[in-house]
Amino acid sequence: MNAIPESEQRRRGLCAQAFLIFRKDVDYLRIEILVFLLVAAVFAWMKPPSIELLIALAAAYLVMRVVHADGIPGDRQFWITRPYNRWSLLGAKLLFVLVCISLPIAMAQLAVAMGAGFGLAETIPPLLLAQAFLFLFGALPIVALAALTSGIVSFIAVALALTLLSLGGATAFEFWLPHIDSLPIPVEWIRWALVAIPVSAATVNILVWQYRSRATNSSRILAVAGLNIAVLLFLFVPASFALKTQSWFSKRPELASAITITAGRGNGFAAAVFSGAREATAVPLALMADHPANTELRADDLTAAASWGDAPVTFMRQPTINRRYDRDGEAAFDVMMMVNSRQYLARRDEPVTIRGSVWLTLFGEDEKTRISARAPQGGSTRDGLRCRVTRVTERGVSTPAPPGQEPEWRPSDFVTCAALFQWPGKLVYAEAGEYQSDFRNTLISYAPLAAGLSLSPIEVRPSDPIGSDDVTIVTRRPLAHFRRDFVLTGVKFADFDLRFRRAPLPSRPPAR
Amino acid sequence: MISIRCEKLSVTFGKLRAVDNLDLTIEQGAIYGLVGPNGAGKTSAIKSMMNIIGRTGGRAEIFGRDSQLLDEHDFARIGHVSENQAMPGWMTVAYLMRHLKPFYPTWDDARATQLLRQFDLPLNRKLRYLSRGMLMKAALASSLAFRPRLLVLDEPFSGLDPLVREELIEGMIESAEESTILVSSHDLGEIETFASHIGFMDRGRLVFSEEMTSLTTRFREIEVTTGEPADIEHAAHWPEQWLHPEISPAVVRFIDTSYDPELTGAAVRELFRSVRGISATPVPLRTIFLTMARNSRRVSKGAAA
Repeated sequence: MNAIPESEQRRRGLCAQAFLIFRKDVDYLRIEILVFLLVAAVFAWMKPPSIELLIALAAAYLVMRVVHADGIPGDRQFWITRPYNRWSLLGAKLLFVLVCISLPIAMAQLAVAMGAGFGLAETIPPLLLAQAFLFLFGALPIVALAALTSGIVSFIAVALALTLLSLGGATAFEFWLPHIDSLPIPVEWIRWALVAIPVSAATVNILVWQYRSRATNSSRILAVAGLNIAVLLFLFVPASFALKTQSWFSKRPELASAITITAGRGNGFAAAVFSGAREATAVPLALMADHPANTELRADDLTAAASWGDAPVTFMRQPTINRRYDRDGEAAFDVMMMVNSRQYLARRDEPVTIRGSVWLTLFGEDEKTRISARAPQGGSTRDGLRCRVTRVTERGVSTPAPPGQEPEWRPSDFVTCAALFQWPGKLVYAEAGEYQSDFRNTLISYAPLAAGLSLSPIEVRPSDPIGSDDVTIVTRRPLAHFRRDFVLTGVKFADFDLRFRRAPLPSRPPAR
Repeated sequence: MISIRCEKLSVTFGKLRAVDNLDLTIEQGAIYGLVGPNGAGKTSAIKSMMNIIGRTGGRAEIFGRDSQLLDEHDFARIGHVSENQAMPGWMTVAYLMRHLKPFYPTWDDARATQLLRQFDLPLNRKLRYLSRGMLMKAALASSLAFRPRLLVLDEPFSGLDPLVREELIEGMIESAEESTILVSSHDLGEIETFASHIGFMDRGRLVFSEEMTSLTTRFREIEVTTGEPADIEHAAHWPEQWLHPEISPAVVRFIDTSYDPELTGAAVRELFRSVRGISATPVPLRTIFLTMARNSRRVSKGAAA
């Protein structure tokens, strides 16, 4: 008979120890586990997100309790001078999180997804990904936080302190530094991915330091440092960096090479607006782009600067861009360029040069799925969307009524699409004849992964009312993210003025 | 073979030097009583030896291994019971023993059963509902059932009634044949009955460390009867090893910390002109402890002055 190698014996010994500690923890927390299973069952039954916060709090409480069962800080713990292997101890805690927290949540998510009509095979991959995210970026940081504290009071105090520190820091920065870039929604995921780096690094190091050496003071310093770096990254990620990073994920960047963009005067007139605490003047511009047929163009972000010869430049970022139309390979966007009001008034009659950059995304390869209200189960697109037409018979849509009268309501059809874990990073439209309705397409994410940190396994979005029960769902996936620069010359800001002058304010009446 | 060795071990908490350059050696098979007043640094020294708290200087070794490197294999041979250890209150006594058994390769079921019976422990009662004495007995039973090579007890007897103390000591002594025992305690009367070695700590330092027999031989209460009133002036030539003097008109009493019948007698006769009688009485550990503690305070006060 072959003898078992020493390393294998050791590995088995560590696993056996981890299992013994895990079993002890299950015995210790059996009532709490039962309560958590009940909450998970309610989660599956009531459907998220109504109970999402409750299950998150219950999970955090259970994680804290299991870590504190064999706490790290302090010098009175029973286990310290018992032959517990430190890695077995950590392994037991992580096993507990997986079996008693992740698994019930996963089962509840699976039940919700299958209840919404998704199949087992299509649900499992994003479910596993979502669970991996929840474990790495949800449970593990809580394990690390619990490993830094010795009781529920200190845990809650530290958690509250860290939350207030983060929120307070973010609020203070937003107040004092209002010009910090806000990222376009589609690339927000890059901000979170960057934040995940210091959080993960701090979490892993805290766990290693605590379970190997019980170096609580050093670990607490590391936790504060990691959090500060995360907050700073969250606040100061430049939009240009995020957009440039997104361009590396282009699937077919060559399609963008032929796309050109030109700038011109937009519709409407200049108007005074408040941007943060400062007054600015919004100047309407229009951008026109040519792009390949059967593709679609979206503008994600724009920066523009106005200059007068060698005079100082007024510069403002403009993240809100409205698409005027996009058909037959031609797209037009309306943007409002923010100009410093003082400079605008001082130099409105001088020729101005406007230079700008716009970040665009080219969508293409439309995929169409026809669904009908007559099929109660609806239809499934190739993106994993399950869509159905529902008829709202009472108060579907209303027609405007004369003042003082009730609006007239009539039945209407709506399309509702459900996505697994998160809405796909694609354009999704519901087409009925000539009419096209989108699904809040400005709120999609270009994240390359199919799940995020949400506990909810289903994201449902309704369309606008649609006049037919035979609907085609059209999806377009992003092919290229790219930047185009433009220059607009030969204009003056006075050209954007509405041609009337504001009447002078009446003088204040004399005091009685 | 040495079980515990400390070389210049220091432990500080902020500005407080709890253990100050402690040099200590405990041979295998010894029953070492570590005594000293409150705040002497006994618990901090033991915690550092057990790697429960870090050290700020020096070194401590258990079975020749740096205490900071102690792992599960070392702790499988070490039993540690402390008065302020937080036991898992939700476990019953039986659960505690059942849970710990697989962690110790040398766990002896028969010994465990015998200890539980000997200590009269209620198997199905949760630890949180046990009295302090019962809890200490449960902790000791769980630390003796695997026949440890080293048993470290930190103030195990404080606050316990005499019956429980006796039971604990009995249980401990039964394992003395196969274990080295380090016990810190204020209970000098109990320590005296079983310790083979004594170490006295004060203000973080080890004042002395020696075998019990040598200690009790070395310390004597000397009573000198003089023919005429003792001359207080002689006190100026008072030997350093004579502590805690009480001088009355015809009788002088003191504790000799280096007693030798011939040398002490000669020194007494040299100091007092008319000596009618000298008696040397062995002193209990409690007296030795009090004498050393008072002397230590007197010396430090003098140094401070």
